[in-house]
Amino acid sequence: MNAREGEGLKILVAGPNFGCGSSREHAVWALAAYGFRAILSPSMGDIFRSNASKNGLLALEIGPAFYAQLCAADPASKISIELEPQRVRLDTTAEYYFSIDGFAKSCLMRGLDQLAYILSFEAAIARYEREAAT
Amino acid sequence: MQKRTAFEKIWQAHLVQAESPEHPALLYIDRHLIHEVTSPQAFAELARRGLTVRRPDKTFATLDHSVPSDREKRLAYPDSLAREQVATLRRHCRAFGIPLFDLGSQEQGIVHVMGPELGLTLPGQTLVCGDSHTATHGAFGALAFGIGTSEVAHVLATQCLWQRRPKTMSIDVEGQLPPGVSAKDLILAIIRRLGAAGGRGYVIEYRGSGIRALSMDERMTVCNMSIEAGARAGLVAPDATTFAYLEGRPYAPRGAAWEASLDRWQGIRSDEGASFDAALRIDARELRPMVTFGTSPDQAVAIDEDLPLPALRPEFSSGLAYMRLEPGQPLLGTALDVVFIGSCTNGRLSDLRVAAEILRGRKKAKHLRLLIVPGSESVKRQAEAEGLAEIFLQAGAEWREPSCSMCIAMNGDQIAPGQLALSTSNRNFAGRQGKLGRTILGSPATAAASAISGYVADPRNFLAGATHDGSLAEPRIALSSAPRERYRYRSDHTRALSEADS
Repeated sequence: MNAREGEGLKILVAGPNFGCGSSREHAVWALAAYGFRAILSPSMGDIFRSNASKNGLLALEIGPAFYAQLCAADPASKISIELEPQRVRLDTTAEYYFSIDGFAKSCLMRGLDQLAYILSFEAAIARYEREAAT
Repeated sequence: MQKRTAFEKIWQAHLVQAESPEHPALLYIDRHLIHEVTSPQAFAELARRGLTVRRPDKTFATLDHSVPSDREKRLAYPDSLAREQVATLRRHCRAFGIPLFDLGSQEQGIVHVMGPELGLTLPGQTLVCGDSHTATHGAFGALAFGIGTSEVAHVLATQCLWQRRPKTMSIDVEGQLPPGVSAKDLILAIIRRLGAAGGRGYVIEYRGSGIRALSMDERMTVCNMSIEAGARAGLVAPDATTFAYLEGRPYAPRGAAWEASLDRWQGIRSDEGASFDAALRIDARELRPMVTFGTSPDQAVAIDEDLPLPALRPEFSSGLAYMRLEPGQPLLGTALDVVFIGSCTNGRLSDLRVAAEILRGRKKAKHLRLLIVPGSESVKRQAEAEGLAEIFLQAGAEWREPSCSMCIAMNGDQIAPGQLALSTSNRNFAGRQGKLGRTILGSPATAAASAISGYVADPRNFLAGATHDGSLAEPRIALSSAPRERYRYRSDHTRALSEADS
């Protein structure tokens, strides 16, 4: 990541148990500040994953076979992540369908964090307040 | 008409948006209680986003966690962080028009003690606070739970929360508690049955004749510790006891609104035949005073029951090792350094009355420190008016100002390394009451009896009419004279290291 070639990269492919032992959000902030938008790993620490989702960093678990393919691929290969169909593509040669919490996906699709998402329901909140008995 | 539980009725009445594949349910919050520890970052978040507090009229603040309980130190905080937190809360309450029950006001106190006193918690409400023991308010038939700091920001800004719908558990308590056995012992017995994670994902409804017989204070004690069984919340459906408690309180409805409310509140109970996801039955008549022996509230035994042997129950070995208690025999007779009576679990007037009844005309054991902290200014006033404070002082206790105090030891009230305290609070985690401190949880009666004896004592022997006062000629298990340095602990205080480990 220190090398010149590392600049501008957005997806980090990481080995098993990435982020283990990490409970501080700072780990996520550092990766996001570097420019990463997504981490792909066969397994990740729970707290790290939860912190990632709170900070708009996509942390996805991928199967071991796909992980092996990514590791073996040419570093110039293109990886693309499509949130809606929940699919990761390695060039045109391989793909993997990942699972993601519906709420996390919904926030990311909207470009909103949890608070902003609530705020988008202003009309419903106002209606509730009008109708509810005091 | 579908049969619904009380929880379901409250839940459905507060849905702004139903749960969907894209998001959890969006729940409206009727009451938001805030205090100085978990609110600063939430207000900072609002400022960062240019947001205001949506409903200051549904938000109430007090100071409790880091305020000193020493009258002289009240204005001189233990550390600058605490001072800063308090100043921050004051500033924000002023800016947003949030009522703050500040130091020096008649109503200040531990948030879960003073809130109900003011009638802030009403049946059928959703109520949240950035504090673990918010479930206390469920005693009023409210859906009340603790939230994290980021959620405090959500509620301040929108008056709403994302919530996944929990499951329901019914805990049926039948029969009356025997003399000397209290609501604290009941909930410790329940937590022991469920385990620290047994209630995870559930809202517990406490029902049955044993619960109906409890006062509001006692119901609050029971609901308060629901979190220690992992539950999201605990609640008791409102009844005549609830309504009698609430009538006339400052924030309770008055006049025609009171009558209308009563009508509505009668409906907040589980329909006959409504089904729960899980159910437990407890016979209250079988219960005995309970004490914890380990480093989790579910590690508890009856006061005269042998502690488990680590060889047979390895899950208890690290707790027992930290606590340095003798397995295979009861806690009775174990010498104590400190007794603390107070906290949001047992810091109410009725708790102090129970303690005073046992302490009346008696003195604490010479070697022991007895700290009694009323849960609120109101409790303090009443306790002094009734002569309870005088009883405590005569007994050699320190009588303090309302705060969370030694429960969480954030305000300077703490136990020294290695000391063993019996406490009426709700958590016995390693180091909770002071670094390397050891905590036994018990009821106010057990605490008072133990303070007199100087060791863990059975409160049933101190009741009027008891054949003897239960004292032993000398403690069966003395304070350890072994050098404390013999024990080393992991830096997270969860486990003692033997010399071999080093």
